[in-house]
Amino acid sequence: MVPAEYYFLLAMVVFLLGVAGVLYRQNLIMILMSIELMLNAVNLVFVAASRTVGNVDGQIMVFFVMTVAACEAAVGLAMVIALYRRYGTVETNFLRALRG
Amino acid sequence: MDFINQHILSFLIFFPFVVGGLIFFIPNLRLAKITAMLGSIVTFLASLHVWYYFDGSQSGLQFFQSYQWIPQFGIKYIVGIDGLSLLLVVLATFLTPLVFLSLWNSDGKRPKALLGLVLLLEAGMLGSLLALDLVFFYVFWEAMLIPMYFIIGVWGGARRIYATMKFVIYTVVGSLLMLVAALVMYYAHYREFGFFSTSLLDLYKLNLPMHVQMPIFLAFALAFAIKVPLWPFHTWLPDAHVEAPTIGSVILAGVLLKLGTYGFVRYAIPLFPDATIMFAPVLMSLGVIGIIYGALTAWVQEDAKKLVAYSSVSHLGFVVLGSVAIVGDGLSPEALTGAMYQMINHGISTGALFFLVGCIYERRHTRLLSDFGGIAKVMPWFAVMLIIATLGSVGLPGTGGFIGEFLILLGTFNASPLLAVLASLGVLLGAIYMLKLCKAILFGPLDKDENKELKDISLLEAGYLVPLAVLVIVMGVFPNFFIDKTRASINHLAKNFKNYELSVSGMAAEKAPAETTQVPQPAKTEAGKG
Amino acid sequence: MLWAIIFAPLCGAILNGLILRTASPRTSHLVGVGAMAVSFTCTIILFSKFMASGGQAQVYEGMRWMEAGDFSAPLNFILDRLSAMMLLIITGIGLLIHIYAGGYMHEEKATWRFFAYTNLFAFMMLLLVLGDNMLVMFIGWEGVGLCSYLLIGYWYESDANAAAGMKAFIVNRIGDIGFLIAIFLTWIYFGTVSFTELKVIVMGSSGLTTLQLNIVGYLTLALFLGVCGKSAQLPLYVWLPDAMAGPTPVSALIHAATMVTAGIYLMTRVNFLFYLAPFTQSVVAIVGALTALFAATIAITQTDIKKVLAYSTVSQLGFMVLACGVGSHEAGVFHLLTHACFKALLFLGAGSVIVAMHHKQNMLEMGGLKKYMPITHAVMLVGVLAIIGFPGFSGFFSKDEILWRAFNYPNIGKALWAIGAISAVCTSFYMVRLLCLTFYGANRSDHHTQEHLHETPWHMWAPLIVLAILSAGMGYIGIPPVFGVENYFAHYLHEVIAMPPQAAEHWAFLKEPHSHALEFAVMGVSVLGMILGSGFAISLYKNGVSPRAVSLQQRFPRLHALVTDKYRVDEFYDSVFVQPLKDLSAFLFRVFDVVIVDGIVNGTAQLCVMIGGLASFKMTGNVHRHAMIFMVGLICLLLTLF
Repeated sequence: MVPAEYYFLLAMVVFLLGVAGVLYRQNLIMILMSIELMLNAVNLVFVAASRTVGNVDGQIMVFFVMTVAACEAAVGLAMVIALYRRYGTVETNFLRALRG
Repeated sequence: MDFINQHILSFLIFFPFVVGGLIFFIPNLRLAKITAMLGSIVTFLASLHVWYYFDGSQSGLQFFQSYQWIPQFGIKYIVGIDGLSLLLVVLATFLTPLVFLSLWNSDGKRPKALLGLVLLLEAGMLGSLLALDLVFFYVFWEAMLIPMYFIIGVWGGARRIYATMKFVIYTVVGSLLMLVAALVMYYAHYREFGFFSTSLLDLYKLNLPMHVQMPIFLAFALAFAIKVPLWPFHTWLPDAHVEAPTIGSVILAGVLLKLGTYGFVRYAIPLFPDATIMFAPVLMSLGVIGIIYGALTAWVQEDAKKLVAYSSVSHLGFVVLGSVAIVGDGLSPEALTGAMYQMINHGISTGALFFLVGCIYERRHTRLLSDFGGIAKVMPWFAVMLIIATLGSVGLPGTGGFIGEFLILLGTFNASPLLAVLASLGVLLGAIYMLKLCKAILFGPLDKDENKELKDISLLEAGYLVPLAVLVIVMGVFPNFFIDKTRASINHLAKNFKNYELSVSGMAAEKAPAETTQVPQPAKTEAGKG
Repeated sequence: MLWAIIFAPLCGAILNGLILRTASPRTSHLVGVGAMAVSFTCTIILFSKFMASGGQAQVYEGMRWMEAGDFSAPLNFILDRLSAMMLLIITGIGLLIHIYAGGYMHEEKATWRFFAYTNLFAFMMLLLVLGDNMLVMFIGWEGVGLCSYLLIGYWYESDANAAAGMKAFIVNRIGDIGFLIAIFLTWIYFGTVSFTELKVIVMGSSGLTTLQLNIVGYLTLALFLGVCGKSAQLPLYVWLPDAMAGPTPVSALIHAATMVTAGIYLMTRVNFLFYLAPFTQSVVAIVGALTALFAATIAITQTDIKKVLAYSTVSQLGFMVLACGVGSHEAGVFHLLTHACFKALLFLGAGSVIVAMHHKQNMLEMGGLKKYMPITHAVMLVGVLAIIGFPGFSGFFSKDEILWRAFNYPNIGKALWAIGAISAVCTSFYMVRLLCLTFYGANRSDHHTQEHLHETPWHMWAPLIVLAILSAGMGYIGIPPVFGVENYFAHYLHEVIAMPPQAAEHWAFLKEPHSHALEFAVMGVSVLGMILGSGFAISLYKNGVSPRAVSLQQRFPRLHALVTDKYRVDEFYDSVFVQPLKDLSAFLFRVFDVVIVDGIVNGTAQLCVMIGGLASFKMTGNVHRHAMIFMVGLICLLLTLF
């Protein structure tokens, strides 16, 4: 049996990869995927913790997160497409509407 | 019948809400109008049912309903009605069908959305009138802003964005402070009684020390004062009224503003009696200043709608004055009754005035007084309606306005003769500016060519103007019919506002969880630190 | 029966105003007259029953009207000798004027509005008179003001008429505030607003406390402010002359016979309170006397026939108020009664003249009408004789009674009498002047008008004859005891006048006997003054404006201009009260509202925008940068937490 810490470590690594992806990738699609990665890392923690504690609450939460993630992906991708149509690019460097 | 009586208040809140939501999905405009109309009429009938079965001799809550909502935080869903809210509820449900009637032939911008928003607004108003839980109330209180924001912002006049932003931001500033104050009370209640509750019935039992009451009272008072609007927080009102579409103005003046004064009566005064006593002179003075200031500024307006808007400032000054008139150990029951009455009367007469201004605006696309004159010749029935609404507004005996103003002044005179005398100057000034309006529109030579062809009010317009005009007079001739329903509640509040408690009449009150176990002794000194 | 009296006019008003709007003028007239006729008939029946049963005050209980807190005002009506008399005046003279109005308004296309308003007026006036508590009275009090507003502005196409109506309403409202304050004081310190209960409290054996006595002073002063507004006394009389913009029957009904006398009615209704307030009584007497003189002098130079009558009404009201002020309310009410008859007569007569003259009202363009309108001339002559107090006519008895009572008033009594006597001289001067300029001498109108001069139809002169008979004979019900007969009228009103025990000492002089010689002397002075005044007027205006009158004017040009301009009171009020208030309003709106309050509000918003703008230099718009900052912030937050 693999100790729970391993799962947590793995989750941390995956999560940090996600963060790094969000922070360093220019392409919106990649950013979205990085966010998915982070969500999955969280899922992993939930499942592992649930298993360790012997309580199914965490697993229920995972289902929750998965559905939300699916919705989020759908909406996010739709927005990316909308952005592409509007600006002709999905590179964040060119999307600067927030500039003050 | 029992089942109906037990659930009718929830029905009143959620039925318009549901219908309003549905309207957005009805493809056919005609059908949407019919649905909206039917929905509002059913709501009105339901409120009449409440009126009919409401026992005016009881001061407690009736048609009471209480459920746990978020038990961890002590937040409940509590609705109930007593004499303080009954008239306003009926007024709100009464005005809504009239509003739909006035929209019956209109097919302007996004007509369906407008219908839906009006119903949502009605739900919001009824919710905040019937709620007896601070959180629940707050939710509806803020929720009302959203439909109104869109009504002004989408269907308004040229400067609508400015006006609607001003309206929302002004109001939100007040309500946010109120939220903070509510949280303070929430913790104070925990310290004193050992459990969390946002139910008004529990919060009324709080004994807050003075230095706590003062800031929370001010926060609540500010929120309500902005809504009323009390001088000097009134400048959003003329802008909002002038830019709002006719129905927006009607609802705004008719019911929305009353929630401010209702807030004073239901929340600020009984929750913080000591602070009320301390600040009553200030509030009364502001009320009197508002009466005179509103009247004077109304006098110099050249836009008919702005004139009516400023007249609201003046009239609501009377309501505030009447709500906080302290005589001896309690509030003055006469003034409080008058304030209650004036709220309803103002809703009706000012609602009628806004409708009437809307009538001529629709025909001439101008509201400048100088563009009219002598209209009585071509629009005789319009003239009758305008004169009746005007008389209601100036408080002529025989109209509802008189009863309200008279009782307010009577009670105030007992509390402070000087303020009452000053306020009665408002009665005089009211006649000046309202008659000026009448004269400028109706009388004088009919010398503008555009005005010579004006058509008198149509049957449809008569359909929503006549009920209002009739009510103006009925309220003046049979005041007891209305006062009887509110008497017990008002006397109860007036006499006992220092340790006000609301009981539930008709059925057993649901017991608060820890009420029986915990003796409310220990934390009185600590409560101050909340 | 009482209900029929009250509600018949209301039904007429509703019928005319809401249902018969397309009916012919004839139908409207019939409905209007019918309503008044029903009311009048019932009044006669009720009155005879009332007197037969001894004439004791009765309270008719209506519905509970308004109850709030401890305050309650039921819709009760009181029928006593005072209100019964007023009922007769309102319905009787009202009926005559309604009949007359049909002829006067015959050129109008739709008279439903007129008769709806006048019927509504009668209803409101009845409420005013019959109300057993101050609140019901106040409904009528403001209701008649409303009808007056509507009727003055009846021909609303002219700006001036609409403005006159507005002025009347607003000036009346100033007085109404006084009335309201009086109601508040009464309720707070006496615990009731019912006249009957109030009387019981005041007349009670225990008497009033010192506090209550002090309050009565303020209360009566406030009430008197209301009287000043409604009965057109100084300084609030300014609305009445302007009110002549309305149709002439209205001037006769509202602005001469009934509404304007409401103030005198009110003071008599609560005479027991006024007796308790000697200071107020002095104020009342002085204001009344000054008003009488002031208005009489203005009337001397007016050329508009209705304006003369209007100022004359103000002046006569001054006499009545003076009578109440010197503690003799019955004399005031007696003058009210006779004045109602002869002033209605004069106004209606003037109305006939105006109709004949094609709605020209300038007396300088009239003259010699006696030839064309014999009946009108005859009745007008009776009216003038009555008002100037020609011995034997009604005004003689009522006015001299007032002057004699003023004479007997201690301290300032002689001065009051002198002012009153001078006013009476002025009265005879301007009334005779009016008569001369209108009916005698040569006709000065243009050819076109002259051709059409003719007597009015019978339904216009018939009411005038009835009124003329009343004007001539009404005085005989109140012959002063000095002639050796009982004063029936004073006896009739005896029950209404109630002297509170606490005030009896102060008013003891009312009961003191006086020498008959003195009374006859005072009366002789009055008659002499009347003869002088009228003789002077005849000599100046016998044949139009004589050169002597013109030279007299030229000798005092400034004074003449001042009086012709009505002492420029309107201009004074305008520049001292109205204009500054308007400027203040404009200032409040333009500066306080728009600049200061909105300045603060919008300034706050702009400040936020500015701060945001400063901060936004750091915003490059790069998502990564934002995310980075966000992460750093998060990490910092976590570090502080753990």
